[in-house]
Amino acid sequence: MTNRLSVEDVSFSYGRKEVLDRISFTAENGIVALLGNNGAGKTTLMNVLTGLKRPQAGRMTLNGSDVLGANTYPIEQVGYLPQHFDVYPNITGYDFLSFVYDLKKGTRADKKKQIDELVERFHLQSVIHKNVRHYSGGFKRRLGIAQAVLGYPPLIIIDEPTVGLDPEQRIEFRKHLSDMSRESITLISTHIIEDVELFSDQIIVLKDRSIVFDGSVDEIIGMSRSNIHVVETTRERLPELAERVTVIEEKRIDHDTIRVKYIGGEAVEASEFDKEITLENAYVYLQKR
Amino acid sequence: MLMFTYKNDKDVTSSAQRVFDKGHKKLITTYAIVSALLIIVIFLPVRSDYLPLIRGGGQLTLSDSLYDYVVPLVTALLLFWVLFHDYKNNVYELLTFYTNRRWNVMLFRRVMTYVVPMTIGSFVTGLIYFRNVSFLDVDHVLLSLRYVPNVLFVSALLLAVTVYAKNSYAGLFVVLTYVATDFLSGSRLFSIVSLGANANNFYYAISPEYYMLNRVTLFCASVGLFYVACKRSTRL
Repeated sequence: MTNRLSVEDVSFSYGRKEVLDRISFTAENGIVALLGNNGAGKTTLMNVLTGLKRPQAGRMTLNGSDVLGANTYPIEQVGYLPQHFDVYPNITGYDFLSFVYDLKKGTRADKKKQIDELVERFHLQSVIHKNVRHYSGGFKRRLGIAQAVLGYPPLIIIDEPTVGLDPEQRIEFRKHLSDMSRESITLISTHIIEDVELFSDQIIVLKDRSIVFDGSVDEIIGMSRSNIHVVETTRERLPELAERVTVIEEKRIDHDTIRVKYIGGEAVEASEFDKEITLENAYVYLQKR
Repeated sequence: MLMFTYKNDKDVTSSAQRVFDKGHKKLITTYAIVSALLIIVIFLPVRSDYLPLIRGGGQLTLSDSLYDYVVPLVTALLLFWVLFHDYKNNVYELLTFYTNRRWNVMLFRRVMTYVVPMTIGSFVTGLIYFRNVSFLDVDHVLLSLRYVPNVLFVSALLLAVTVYAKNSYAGLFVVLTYVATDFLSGSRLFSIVSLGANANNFYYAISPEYYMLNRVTLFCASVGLFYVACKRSTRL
């Protein structure tokens, strides 16, 4: 089933300080990456979408139903993994999943089957009956994602999914996210571009309280391609170049040669190099333009 | 939709108990405290001339401090233990997500699981404490009932500060400071919201109206603090 999320004109402020200004976007099944620098309002938007903060204005509908205006936030319809996920240290992972399943009003008949399914899917078999205090960061994160997926909600919201994980665990976690996103809208807030580069279906970039881009990875790269230039220079000439343009990437080619990607004005000199623009380059361009 | 009406949902009640109080350790501790209190008052009842002494304006600080200060403080320490991991490990973030957005019934039920036995325990053991003064009459019930606002107020204060500060230590610090300064100042510092209205004999030393105002204020403040804490904890 294709799910549809619609966020319309959501605004949020702390007193007079405006944090989100009329945020609107729509999304369907797949990974939706919410990118933005620290302080751009990502976590606040996540908190608003999960009902943890009440917006001053705006609406959010999931498959046609009003989510934020409902009497009770539909926790059966939305899975959530906060950035700082933790559980009581003296309970087992199984007890925790069982509790969350009951809160989500799952049927008693499917409880064991569904928990066992997720335990297997997220490779938690070796620890699920141990107290959470014995879990490594990776196991804890997987337990977190399992509780979010319990009940197979149409919308899953994940804040900074790979914070605190080592590189190997991050690769594994990205694979889990990719699997999940086939059946649901998986909204991920992150400032680590690498996390979403491979699997994202939709990129939303937040800057200065508003959305400055909403589209696919190809679109964001295409949009920035003509504005990003590549040149090779020497280490001695690099400071001079940096004074004239905004350097967004430097790559050492050999002892003295540096290949530089930059934005700002026309190309400094004709470039013979293939312009391989990454999502990170495009993102930095959007932030700096 | 009543998401956390536990009495209608045995599954949630049962799994919540496993998560919040594995092995009933906290509940067993609560009953152990009440039992210890019971043993203390069985062997150390209040002196039989209690009423004539306070009517004469005397202050039986030692006799009344057990219920004015010690029992409320122990209840607050128990609540600190109950809520400790919520705020130490950011568990509260996820619990808030799973909470009804209008009023945090889950938190209220968790707190009341310990506050109610402590309050009833305080009242019942109070009856036994005052058995030499009066027995199974109105005076007997009133003597014991007058300590109830203290247990409720200290518990509500700890809960409210903890929820607003999102920090268990903040709640404990405020309660310890309040109880200690109130006790050491002989109830002069907080007067109308003092815990020591019985220990400092407000009824006869000041006036019955002042004493009643103190008790009613503490009770109403407790209800208010429980309400705002459970309301505030529905959002981050």
